[in-house]
Amino acid sequence: MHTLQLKLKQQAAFRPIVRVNGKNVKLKKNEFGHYMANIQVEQPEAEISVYTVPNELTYKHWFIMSMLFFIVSVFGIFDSWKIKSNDYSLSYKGKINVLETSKLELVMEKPTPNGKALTAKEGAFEDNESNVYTFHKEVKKRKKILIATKVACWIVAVIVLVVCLV
Amino acid sequence: MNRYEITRQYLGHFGSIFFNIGIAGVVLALACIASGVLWVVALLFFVFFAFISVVFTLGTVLTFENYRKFLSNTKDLLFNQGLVDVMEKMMQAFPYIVAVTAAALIASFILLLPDRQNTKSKTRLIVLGVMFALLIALVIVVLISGRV
Repeated sequence: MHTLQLKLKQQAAFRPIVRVNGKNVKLKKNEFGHYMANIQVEQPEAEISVYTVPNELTYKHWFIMSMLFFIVSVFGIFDSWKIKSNDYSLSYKGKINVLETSKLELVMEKPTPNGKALTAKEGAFEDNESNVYTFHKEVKKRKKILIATKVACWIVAVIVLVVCLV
Repeated sequence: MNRYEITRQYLGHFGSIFFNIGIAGVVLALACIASGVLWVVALLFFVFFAFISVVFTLGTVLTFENYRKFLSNTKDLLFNQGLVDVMEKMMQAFPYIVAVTAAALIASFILLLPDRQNTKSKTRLIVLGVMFALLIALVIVVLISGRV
């Protein structure tokens, strides 16, 4: 058995999800807000993936699902308010060597176009082409479409209400 | 992102919506119970305000017609039948509010459970427990007092 002591520092406001050999790793925050985990692996070579949850508007059925949330939340009244939405996402996959007890300290950098997403402060990891943030340029356009649709729905709802009451 | 993660994200979103509905429901249920209490608080505030203003102005405030109008209007608002009707209707609606709120809280709990690794969802699950306990306490209070 080999143990990897993983520390993940955040420069960006993302919630990272870490997988080692295909299994989700339970991350615990320490007093400084850094994610920590002790991972046990059988083989000295392990596959690690670090990814973030992308914006819901990047998915295939974004419009149907968004409208469903809008209706279920009674025209968005009970929906959770997200002030900032992430237009970036990360999907890193690489290999690491774990000797008996290895330490790996990664830093999640602030998203910049073509900039590295993860950098190692301690230990080594495979720096490959997946170590970059993906910018979802379609999100802004979809957000505008969604806002316009929601406003239209509100106008129709108010008209229907007024007609019913009069 | 695999399908499981996307589903978990969607379920978490639905869970947070039902959580918000549940919170609003608990507040409404609390308002049904506390409508009588609120009335007493409003009455005490009114009496206190009237007393203080008369004492501090040595009664001269009563010579102003606007002040007398304000007193009579507030008195009407507190004692007229409309307010009592609202309180009665709120108590009638209490069982339905409790049923919808309980359903929303349970649905939220089920939907947020797969996303419990997320700190926000974990906090919501803890708050859900507190809200559910509060709702049960409200139901017990109403049943004991025999108001429904």
